[in-house]
Amino acid sequence: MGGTDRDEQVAVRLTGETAELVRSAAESLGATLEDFAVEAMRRYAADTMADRRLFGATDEAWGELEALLGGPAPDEAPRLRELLEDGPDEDGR
Amino acid sequence: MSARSAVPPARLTAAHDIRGFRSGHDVLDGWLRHHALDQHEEGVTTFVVTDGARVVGYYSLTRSAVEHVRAGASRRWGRRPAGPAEPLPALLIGRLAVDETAQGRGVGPRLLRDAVMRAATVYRTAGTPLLLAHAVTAPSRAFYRHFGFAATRLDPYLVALALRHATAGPGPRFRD
Repeated sequence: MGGTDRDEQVAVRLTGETAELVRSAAESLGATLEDFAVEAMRRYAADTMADRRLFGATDEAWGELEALLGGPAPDEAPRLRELLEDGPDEDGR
Repeated sequence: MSARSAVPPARLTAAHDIRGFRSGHDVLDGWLRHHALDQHEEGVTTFVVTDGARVVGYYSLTRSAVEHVRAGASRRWGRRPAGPAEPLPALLIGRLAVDETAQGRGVGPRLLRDAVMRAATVYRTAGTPLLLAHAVTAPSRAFYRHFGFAATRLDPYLVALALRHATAGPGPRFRD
């Protein structure tokens, strides 16, 4: 899944204009260039993932989806049904 | 659950107070404040739970699709070999967050319930069989799995629910 404890080093080359912009922005926040870069990448990555709408499925992933769509209800289905049937908003619909 | 919680989530409007929204996830907070309203024009609709005029929880819902990329075929969209399956239509919860002042009061489940009910309506009327959700953090994935969403191989941050398990009676059948 998404979490990992492994650290990675990423080296990037910035053009002069971009480097100046990035350095100025980091200084304006009192952040080191490295901390600024990590934070900026994290935010952009999170937004990029949340904006994804189209997904390509390999044969394996497609088969998994078929099984999900055609297979039995998940173990948690009673909990979902309870949420849908007994939730607080049913009068509003 | 307070009496106020009987009001179902509503579509975000300019009249809602979103300025002070803080969920503890700056990316989700910033998106609500700066992009959510504009995104309505892009087909991404945000629904909110409020305390007075103040938004204390939100989720965004939009259309999505999964395409079967067969082994050996180009992975680029729009460049498929002859005779491929049609992309599988889906709905997608792109973002869901609860304000820190309202956490632990059932706001997240209320938002999810609203999203699943809306998606189930689309499933019954238009056959969209799948509800996907982006969950970047481990606690958010646990939240969705608690209500029956499953991890997928499409993306490590994506969970999926077959909507026929969220609605009574048989829906349209899924075919490759």
